[in-house]
Amino acid sequence: MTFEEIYQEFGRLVFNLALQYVQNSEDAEEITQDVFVAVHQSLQSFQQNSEIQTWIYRIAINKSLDFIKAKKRKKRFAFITSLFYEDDNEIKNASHHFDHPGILLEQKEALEILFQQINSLPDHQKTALILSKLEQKSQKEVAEIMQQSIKAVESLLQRAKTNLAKMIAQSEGK
Amino acid sequence: MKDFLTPLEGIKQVEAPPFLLPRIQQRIQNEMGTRFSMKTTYAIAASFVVLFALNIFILVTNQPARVEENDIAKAFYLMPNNNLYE
Repeated sequence: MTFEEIYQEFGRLVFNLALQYVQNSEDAEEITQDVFVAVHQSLQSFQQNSEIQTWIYRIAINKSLDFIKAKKRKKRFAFITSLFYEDDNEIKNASHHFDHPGILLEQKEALEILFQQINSLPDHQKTALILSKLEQKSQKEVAEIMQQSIKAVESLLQRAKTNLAKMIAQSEGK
Repeated sequence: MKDFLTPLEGIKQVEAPPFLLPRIQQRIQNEMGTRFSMKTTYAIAASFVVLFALNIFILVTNQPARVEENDIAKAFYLMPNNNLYE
């Protein structure tokens, strides 16, 4: 399979997965670029014993999480510099911008709040939830992608739902 | 508990932006260029290290030879230095 064929088959998948993590097209595009650069670099060393889709999913998850961490670091740095300099352009650029093209306008407000809560989950819980609820993967597939047991994935999903329920209850002031 | 996750089901899959592949290919080309220049940099740095190490080696191994030269000079009653009035 050539690099172009891999892109044609998985480009859409990677872009949509990145969108679920960052919820805006610009960042998702940057992550997609990172993913395919990494795919190109390690295509020679790719071992056929794991499925190519699973391999690409793993790279996309790692790159998305790395991107989010880097953005948080940038945001912290921008905040610190804003204490010393009046120009706050950097902090504006580093702030999160919700613009998920797969969300209908009437659902945007509700989903923006829900995604804020999903984004505050620990990485493993967030990944399990995204793969299971947004990518519609079975628990077996999620377990394979995350290199965890099915029981561990079940537990991650359960904890994610419990944490989300708590956050929602708190935001509603119950 | 299921209710609050139901809105997630309404999210649609979208197409990747057009011209993303050429942009990725361009980035790969750029990174390959950077990697080549890094290789060159490492090669130059390595040759400097080898040259420096060779110099040190020659300096260290040449020291006993000087002693031998002095011994030869003494054996042939030659002056080991240029001081004529000693």
